Formats: sequence, C-alpha cells, structure tokens
Amino acid sequence: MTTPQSMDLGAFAHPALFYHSTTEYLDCLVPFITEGLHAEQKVLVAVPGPNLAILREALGGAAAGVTMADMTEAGRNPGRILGSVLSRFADQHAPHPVRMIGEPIWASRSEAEYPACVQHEALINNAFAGRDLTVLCPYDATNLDPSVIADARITHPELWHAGAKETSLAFAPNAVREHYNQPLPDSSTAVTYTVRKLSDLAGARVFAAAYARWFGLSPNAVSTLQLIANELAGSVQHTHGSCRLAFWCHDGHVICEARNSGCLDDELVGRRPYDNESPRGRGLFVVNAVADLVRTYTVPKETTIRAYLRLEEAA
Amino acid sequence: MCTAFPHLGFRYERRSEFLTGAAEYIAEGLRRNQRIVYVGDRSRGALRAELTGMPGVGDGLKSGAVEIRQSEDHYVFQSGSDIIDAHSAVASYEAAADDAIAQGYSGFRAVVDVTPVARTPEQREALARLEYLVDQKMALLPFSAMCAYDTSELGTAAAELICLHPLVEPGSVAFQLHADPHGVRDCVLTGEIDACSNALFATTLQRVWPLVASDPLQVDARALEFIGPEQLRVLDESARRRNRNVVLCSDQRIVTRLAELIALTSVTVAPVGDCRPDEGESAIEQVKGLLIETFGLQAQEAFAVLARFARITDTTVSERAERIRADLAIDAPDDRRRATLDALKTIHDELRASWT
Repeated sequence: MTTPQSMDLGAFAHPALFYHSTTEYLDCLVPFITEGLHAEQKVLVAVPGPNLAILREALGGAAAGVTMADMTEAGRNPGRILGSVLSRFADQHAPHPVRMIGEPIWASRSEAEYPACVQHEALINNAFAGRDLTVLCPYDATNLDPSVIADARITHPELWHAGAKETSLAFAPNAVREHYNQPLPDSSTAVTYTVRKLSDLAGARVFAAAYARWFGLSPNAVSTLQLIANELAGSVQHTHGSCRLAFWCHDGHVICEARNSGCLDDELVGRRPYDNESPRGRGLFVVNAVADLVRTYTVPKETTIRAYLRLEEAA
Repeated sequence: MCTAFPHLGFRYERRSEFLTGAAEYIAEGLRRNQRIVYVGDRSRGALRAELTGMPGVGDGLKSGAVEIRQSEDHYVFQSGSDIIDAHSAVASYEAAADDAIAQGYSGFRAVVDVTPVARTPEQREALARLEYLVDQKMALLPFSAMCAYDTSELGTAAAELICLHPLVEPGSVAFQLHADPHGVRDCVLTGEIDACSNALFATTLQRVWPLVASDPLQVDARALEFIGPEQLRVLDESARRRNRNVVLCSDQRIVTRLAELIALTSVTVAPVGDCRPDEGESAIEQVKGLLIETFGLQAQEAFAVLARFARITDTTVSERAERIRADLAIDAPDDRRRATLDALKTIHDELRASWT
C-alpha cells in the first residue's frame, strides 16, 4: 500500500460538508439534490433516519425522484456502504454521472465502529477515482468530536462550509487508513476453532452454531453466525494457511474473528458489488452485508477480520 | 426417512460392512413380504453362502422370496460397452415390481453391489442417470433398492452416486439430491453444501437437469442445512447455462437473504407455502393424494394400494384411478362411494400389515 498521499481523483468529486444546523444542512443539500435532478442525474440520499425525514419534507414533491436509504440501517456496517449502497447505485446508472449523499458518521457511532467509518470514507476515493460522479458527505460539526472533523479533512479532497468551498490541504486518505489499521487484540474470553482445510468448514459451522445457541441467539442469528464463520474461514482456500476462528461476546455483540497469515493487499476487497469481486472478495462482501460491523487489521503475514452481530437483534 | 420402500445409498470399505447392511435391508424386506433380489459380482455359490450366513434369510431363499443374480445377468449394458443402459434398467425394475405384486408380494426390493458398474467416469455418468430415474420411480412405485458402493475401490467418486439417494448412512455424503418421495415438488435437496462440495454439486446438477423436465424446477430445500453463496452461484450458473429456472422452496431467512445479496438470475427462493404442485394433476396423482391424506401414507405406499386395486380388478393403474375418481365424485351415488372406500380400506389394511 504505497500509493502516494495525493491521489488523482480525475472527474470524481468527494466533498465533505460541515454543517452546524438543520438550516445549513438543508441550504446545502436541497440545492445539491434539485440541481442534480434538473440535470437529469440520478440522486441517492443515504443519511440517518431523522435527517432523511427533514430532507424528504424540504424536498416536497421532488423527493419522489430521489432514491433514499436510512444510513443507520443500510450503512450500519460501514464496510458495506460502498459495495451495497454507493457502488451499487453508481453502477446501476453507469455510465451516466450520479449524485450521492452519504452520511456515514453520527454522534452515537461507537468506538469500535469509528475506525471502520474513517476507512470507508478514505476508500471512497479509491473506489471512484476517475469516475464522473459525486459523493457528498455531511458532517454534523456541532455534535461530532473535533477529531472526527479533523479526520474528515484527511479523507476528503474538498471541504464545504456554509456557502464556502475549499480544497483540503490535509487530504491524505491512504495515510489515515494506515493510521487506523491497528492490531485487534485477543479477547481473554474467546473460544477458538482452527480451520486448516476446506473440509474443516463443516466443523467450524457446528462450532459457531453451538456457541450462538449457548448465548440464546435466534435461529436466524445462528445461521447468520454460521455463514459469517464459513465465509471468513473460507480464506483457507486463498491463503494456503490455516485460519483461526475466535468467538466471544462483548458490549452487546457476538463477535466472530478470523486470523490468518495472509495479507489483504487489495484495499477494496469485499467492498465492490458482488459480481465485480474476486472469490475472496465475494466472501467478504457477504460478511459485510450480514454483519453489523466488520473491523480489519492487515499487515504482511497477518490479517485479522472481526465481524460483529448485535445481540439484542440476534436474541 | 421411515418408509416401506427406502432407496438406500450405502458405502462400505470391507465386505463385512456390506453384508451387515444387506442383512438388515433384506430382513426388513422379508418382514414386509417383499420380493428380494440379491446382486453381486461373484459366483452364485459365493452369493448364496453370503445370504445363508444372514439371520432369517434361509427361508426366503427356499420359498423363492429371495433370488440370487450375478452382476452380468442383472445389468443391461449399452451395446458393446460396460456402461449400463439406464432406461432399460429402470424398465426392468418396473417389471420386477409389477411381477412381485402379481405374485402376491407387497413390493420389490433389490440389494445391489453397484461397484462393478461405477468404476469409470462414463460408467458413473450412466449410473447417476439410473440412480436418479429409479429414484423418481421409487417415489411412485412399490419398489426400492439398496445400492452399495465399495469406497476402497471407488474412493471419493462413490459420493457422486450416493448423494442421489434419499436415504444414506449418517456422514457418508455432505448433501443429497433426489426425487421428492411425496411427489409434491420435483426434487429434494438436503444436507450441507459448502466449498468442499463445489465440484460434486456442479457435476450432480449437470447430470440431473436432463432428467427433470419441469420448468421451473421446484426444489424442496426445507431440510437444506447450509448452502454458501458460492454454491448458490454454482446452482444459478448451472441453471442459466441450461436455460432453466429453479425455485428453492425454503423458509430459512438466511437463504432468502443470500439470494437477494448475490442477485441470482435463474434461481428464486420462495416460502414453502408458495411452492405448490401443478394444477390439473392426473387421476393417479389425485387418488394418491387422497390415499396419502386418508391413510397417512408415503406416495409410493399410496401407489402400491392403487396398483393392488388395479391388479385385483384386472384394470390398468390409470383406468382404475379414473374409476376411483368418478366413484368418489361429489355427484356419485352414495353406495358406490361407500363400496370404493371400503375396497381401498381393505387393500390398505392388508398392505399395511406387511409394511409395519
């Protein structure tokens, strides 16, 4: 991962909007949307539910022409926003330019979720560089921590404030991604299962199901955890080494972690639409889609991927 | 599966394992008053010695209920080859079942060591066709078979054939694909299909497509314990290449979710309640349905009742089914309805005594 800090994005525009009030939010986003519609561009709005509601109201009749998604659902796991929301929308309408609004960070994002959010914001640049489209990312400058705003300056090449636009001098998406690529320490309460060959996958699924049932997960959550374990441990067919699965519960989540001795050298792996992925990427795409959060740590000779399922919904 | 006519795929490494399994299977058939044929690739004397060593089988040999056949006399081969002719083989099983019923047996079961005709890929291709076709028939007719495969000789290739059986020993194959014994959907897919099974799953699908004409093909996937996204893709691509459509009948949310995620083109997942059999079914199917409901039978047992009725009254099965349908129609005279129901009940009671 030695891409230069300054990245040539070509026609791709990826501004961050720092808003301080609902008025500022609407004053910027409503014209952005309606101008797009007038230019016959397809528009996607993926923001948290309450913001979606005020935008819908402000747009009135024009809302009907806009694709809308509640980001707290569609993008609950930041790892799936690119593959399942943004790229999917952009590809549906390719080669025509589209306008997308993506607000992946809100004040109640947890400490575990946040690094994945920044990595997602950074990777938007890699995913769309050179394509004629726009992803506008609103940030609630009143309620978000200043460090979040500082990170947004690093992940976005362009910054919008009430009425003003500036180039971000701090723009360095690859560096910030590296910064948040931190080791994920072992849990002392984890139970582990090592998959050495494909024929161990059946055993891994039995193990995952037993663990999930022990914690009283619903039948659907049991199958979801089995699927996650299967897709993560399926890496043994690509990395030619063993994969250690670990399961534990923490902070309202059941966690399935996979550790192997390979390196994820494709930064967008698991974040492209399913059909454009490599076999390894397709497995990670599925994990991103069904998990509530996916965290990754990768260096040469070690990769850890951690998938979280929320317990209150799993039970 | 608890049924009078189980189609069993049996793998063994030592002959003694085979003999233990065969003894059980034969004893069960004799208990149910079925006609048995025992087929193997060795001398008649050796086969007889094996049978006489099985508890309770000696009497069956004496009475003629158990027949010995050598492999070369049993199989019909495609001319000039060692590859079996699947369609002729199915026809000869049907005839054997017919004969058995005519002679007063409750059905027919074959115990066959199939290893000699499963050695090459070409042999297995034809044998897979036979296994699936015969399974379709077994879902309807009163006959069954234990198909034994020597894995010390065939290795993992045995799985290509064992997975086509509705009944297998626990742990012998990861998944099974076979005809629906209830005759409601086209086939049944059970077990677990993961990355280990990609090649086997693709091969199995390729072999089964030409044998099932329905479009869309309805697959009962209620007992499918796991299918990975890549394997759903294998199914989708296989169907697309053949220009076929598949409905996976499953109430598992994870299967529905996966299907949405990976945007399948030729496979849809439908709730079990939405997968219904075709309208306008034949009289045979209607009468079978009635018997299944009235007496709580398996499809093949229902057919056995119908076949026995046809035999007693010297009519064909479909003629008899038409008559039964007419006799039981709402506007039919009461006495005729009663007589028909009584006759069915008597035949059912006789046969049930031999099944249970």
